This record gives sequence, structure tokens and C-alpha cells, in this order.
Amino acid sequence: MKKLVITSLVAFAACAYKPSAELVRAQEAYRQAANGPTADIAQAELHQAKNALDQAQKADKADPGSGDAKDLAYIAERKAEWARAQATQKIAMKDRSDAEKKFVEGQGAMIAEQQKRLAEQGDTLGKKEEELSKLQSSAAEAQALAAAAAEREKEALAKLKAAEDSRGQVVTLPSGMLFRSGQSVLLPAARPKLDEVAAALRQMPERTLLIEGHTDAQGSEETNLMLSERRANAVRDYLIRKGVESDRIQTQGAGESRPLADNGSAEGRAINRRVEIVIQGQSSVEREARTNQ
Amino acid sequence: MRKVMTVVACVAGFWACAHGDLPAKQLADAEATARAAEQANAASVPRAALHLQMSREHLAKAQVFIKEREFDLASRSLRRAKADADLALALAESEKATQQADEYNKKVMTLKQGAQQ
Repeated sequence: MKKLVITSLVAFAACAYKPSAELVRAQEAYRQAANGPTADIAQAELHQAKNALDQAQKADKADPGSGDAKDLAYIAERKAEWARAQATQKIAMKDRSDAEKKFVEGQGAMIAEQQKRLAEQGDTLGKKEEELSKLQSSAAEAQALAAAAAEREKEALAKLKAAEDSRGQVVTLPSGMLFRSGQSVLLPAARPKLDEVAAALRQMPERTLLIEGHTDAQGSEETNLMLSERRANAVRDYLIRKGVESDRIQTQGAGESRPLADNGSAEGRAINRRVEIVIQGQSSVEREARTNQ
Repeated sequence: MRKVMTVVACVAGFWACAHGDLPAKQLADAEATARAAEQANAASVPRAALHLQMSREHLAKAQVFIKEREFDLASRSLRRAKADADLALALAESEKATQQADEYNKKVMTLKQGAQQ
């Protein structure tokens, strides 16, 4: 009977034990921590939480609802949450470390790509600079040549005593120097002057030429016109023989239609009897100079 | 005289047993951890701010107990204060680490998008 009473009392005591609300919360907090990533990542921290929980359970069983038991349960709950927070922090730090590594690698790749492009651009730039330099040399050379040609032209025109009018630079050769009266065959004495003219014209390869024959008003208009044409052609033919390109030269007979002086006097008529060589067009240097004005 | 001294020693001993020693180290530890949590910006993380607040409350209770020379009760409040302060600090630092990870992940995304263009 005594045994029965004692056993019943013990059983009753065991069944009567109910963990405190604080302990239940602590147990739940630990369960959540243990079932998550904390168990893998923050094992030491979880172990601390387990120890705290064990202490709390022991105290609660020994003296349920006591202040000490409640304190230990409170601390055990906090420890479990602390262990979970530590695991979260460790995961985040690893994540950050991985991302940082990827970022640095990515930046490195970008920099390498940019350096490669810069190097390629540098090569291209270098080549372009070389080309530009060559072009500039060629341009300078061409300019120098053009300037020299312009200078030669200028000297040649000065030698020929060309006068400028609306048609171009005009070299006037008195017919008396070139032909017998009423004739269109060149006199031998004309050659030195025409040689000089040919030499000067060869210095101006870009220019075109118009050779005009003119007469005085003596004789018929028709005769004078034909004579002036023949004379212009004679001068042309000579110049071609002396190396002036034929496709540069045009001829024209003006007859008595454009006198320079009064045909009433012998001097006037002598002036009117002439062959004009009109040097037309501009050299490339003159064109450029006009464009830049 | 000896009898008087013995009685006094016993009373003092009894009183000390009843009320404990001044938990100076516990107090310093709990306060230091609470300060660390504040510096880790726990106030801006909701859960961390809650536990920091709880820690401060326990610290205040502990101060009252200390004034009343109830050192055992003070010690128990300080244990709770330390536990809450530890948790507040861990939550604050965990949030900071998460934010830093997010920032770096965003940087990586931006870099990838830039490379694809």
C-alpha cells in the first residue's frame, strides 16, 4: 500500500510537470534555429544556444516557474535567436565576398577590354598620323612645286611684257616684226621673238591660248579678215613646232574690226597691224589664292 | 567584544549571501554591448531596435536594484540586458552584412549590363 501511494505520487508529480511559457518559447526558438542553415553555418553558436536551453530546462524542471528558471529560459530564447542572426550574417558575408570577387574580376575584364581597344585605337591613330604626315609632306611638296611654277609663270609673263585685259594676259606682237606687208609667211627675223614666246608658254602648261590676227583698215574688209586668220594660223603653227601643245591653242582672225589706234595715220595703222597672243585661264596657285581671299 | 564581532560578521555574511556582490563587471559588459549595438545602427533595424530597447529596460531595472542593494536581482536583470544587447548587435550586424552583399550584387549586375551593351 505504501509503495502504491509513493509510486502514484511520483507519477502524479511527473505528469504534473508543465514547462513554463518562457521555456516553451525558448525550445521553439532553438528548434527553428536547429532546423535551418544555422545548423550548418553557425554550429558553435548553435551549440551555445543548446547549452543555454539545457540549463533552462534543468532549472525549470527543478523549480518550475521560479525566477531563476524564467531568466534562464529568457536567455536561452535570446541565444537561439542570436545563433540564427550569426548564421544570417555569415551567409551575407560570404555572399558579399563572392559578389566582390565577381565585381573585381568583371572590372578587370572590362579594363583589359578597354586597354585592348585603346591599343587598337592607338595603332589606328598611329597609322592615321603617319598617313597624315605623308599627306602633309605631299601637300607641302605640291605647294612648293606650284609656287615655283607660279613664280616661273610670273617671270615668263614679265619677260613677254604681257598686259592684262578682260580676256587674260595679252602678248602683242607687231605684224611688221613677223610678216611682210600683205603676207602671212613668217619672216626669219620673227623666229627669235616667237622662240621666246614659245619658251614662256611652255612654262605655263595649264593655260590656254587664243591667237588673234588684226589688220589696219587698208584694203577690203574681207581681204583683211582672211589675212588676219592666215597670220594667226602661221604663228600657231610655229609655236606648235616649238613644243607648245596644239590642243591648248585656238586661233581667230579679227581683221580690221578691233583697231587700237586711228587708222588715219601711219603710226596708228602700224599699231593696228598686230598679232595678239591671249594667255587665258588661271594657274592652280592663282585659283587657290582667289578662293582664299 | 569577540561575541559582538562574531555577530556582526555573521549578519554581514548573511546579508551578503542574501543580496550578493555588486555586479560591476556584469553591468559594464551589458552597457558596453548595448552601446556597441547602438553604434552598429540597431535603431534602424526593427527587430534589433526592439531588443536594444528591451536591453535598456533591463539595464534600468538593474540600476534600481543596485541602488536598493538588491544585487542578486540586479544580476538577473543584467543577464537579460546582456542577452538582449547581444541579440540586438547580432541583428544589426547581420542586416549590415546583407545590405553590403546586396550592394555588391547590384554592382555586379550593373557591370554585366554595361559589358553586354
